[in-house]
Amino acid sequence: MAHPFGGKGTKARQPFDFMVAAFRALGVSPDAILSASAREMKRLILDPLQAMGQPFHQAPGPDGWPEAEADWITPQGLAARIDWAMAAPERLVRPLPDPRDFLRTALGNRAGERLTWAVGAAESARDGVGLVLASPDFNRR
Amino acid sequence: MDRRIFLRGLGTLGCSAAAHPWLTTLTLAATPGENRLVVIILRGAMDGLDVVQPRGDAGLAAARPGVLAKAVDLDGFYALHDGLSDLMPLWAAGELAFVHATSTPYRDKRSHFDGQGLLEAGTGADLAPAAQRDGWLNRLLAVLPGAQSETAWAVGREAMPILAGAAVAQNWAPDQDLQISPPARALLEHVYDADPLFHRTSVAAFDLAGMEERAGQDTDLIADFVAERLRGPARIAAFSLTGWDTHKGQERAIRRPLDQLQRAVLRLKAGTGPEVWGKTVVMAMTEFGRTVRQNGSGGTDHGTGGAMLVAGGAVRGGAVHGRWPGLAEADLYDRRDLMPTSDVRDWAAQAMMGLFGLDQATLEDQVFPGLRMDAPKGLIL
Repeated sequence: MAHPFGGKGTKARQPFDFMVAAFRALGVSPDAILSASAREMKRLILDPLQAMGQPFHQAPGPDGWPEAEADWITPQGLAARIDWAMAAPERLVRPLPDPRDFLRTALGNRAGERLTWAVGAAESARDGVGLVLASPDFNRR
Repeated sequence: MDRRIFLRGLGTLGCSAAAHPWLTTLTLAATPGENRLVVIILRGAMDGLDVVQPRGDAGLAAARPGVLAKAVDLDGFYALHDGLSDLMPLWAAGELAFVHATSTPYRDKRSHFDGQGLLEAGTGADLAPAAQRDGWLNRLLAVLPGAQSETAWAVGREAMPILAGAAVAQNWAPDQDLQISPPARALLEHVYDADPLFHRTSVAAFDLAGMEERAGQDTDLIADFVAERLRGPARIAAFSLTGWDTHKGQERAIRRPLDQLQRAVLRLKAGTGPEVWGKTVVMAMTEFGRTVRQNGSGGTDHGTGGAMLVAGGAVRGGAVHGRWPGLAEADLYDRRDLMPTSDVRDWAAQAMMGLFGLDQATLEDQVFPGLRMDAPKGLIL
């Protein structure tokens, strides 16, 4: 059965969709985003989107954003996703969920064996939640 | 940037409300007394046998043919890992002590999250994780006469459940984003290994922007901030140091967290100055110890009994406390782990009794419900 947050896992989630899916999985409400200062907004959302390769509302040309996953999972793009996955959740949600629960919330039954093992082995809640968000499992749709 | 446009994108979500602190965490607490307590949570399970090595026990070398690091003699039986050798002047000055073979009541399940949950809740293992809603430093605040809003601080980016609860504590974190720790990176590499695109790309991604370089600076900022608060009204502070989960290549992997620990202690001492440092106790504790025998990867796995570091001018230093259980197989917990001979909470309670003049009944009923304190051990001056 398909999980409501996930799809078939054949394409990379584009950065904006990646972030939105992360907010949903973390239970961050639009009100919470609205209450952020302009500075937090830039730091938590706008700068990371740009670093991931998708500056907000600046689609290049009439064809829009590329679809191939190799266009998104670049060294720079992936580094930015990892950074965000590790640092942003704690700024968004206190306390962080138990990573083992978060894995189920975020991926349902789509989580691979390796990810499930790694999340259980993480040394802190921060690392465990970050692993889920940085995983191929979460970054594909 | 128009936030409303962004929200329109989010608006399709229909998310539920959740806590959204745009804040980060350093745990510091200000009380009327003059004494100070700093608790450092060592996340990932520090290997007490490598850090405070029982060289006088013949079982040690046999269990650790490749993992044991160079060490400096402490008292003829124990030796201190070379990675903490900058702390030896504190040992000589009587400002540094250790507790060995100690643990929380957590047993057998070996989960970092649950182990840390119990360590910070300060309860017995009989309480379900969901019932462990507040931390023992917060309960300490509740019984400290005259605690103010600036008495306690949770510091750093990691959430500090140890200070969570009804009593007011402040939070602070350095204004920079922390990078990925080496243990987290190793786990992520394991996940990426099975995926050709992510694997190939991550090799270059991990090299970008010096991903691991800033963690040390972060620790310095945290320690300096705590020291500054302790010179002011703060009396209680808590923060985390991570990176202790040394399943592989421990000889190398443990050096970075050890260096951060030693730097944190030295900066707290330097930053508070002689007068305040003389009234300060720093306790560094971890969720559990590691296996006595090294594993096939030159590392150690999740264990039970471990070690605690206690530093500060208010400490009766120059001693390794705790009854040594021995490393013969029959002496081990479950024939694999160091047998705990004391409860971490007991040492914390002893420190609080000495520092804040709390009586035993308050400590046993309110701060650590269910704990039965041992006889005084002379840990605090």
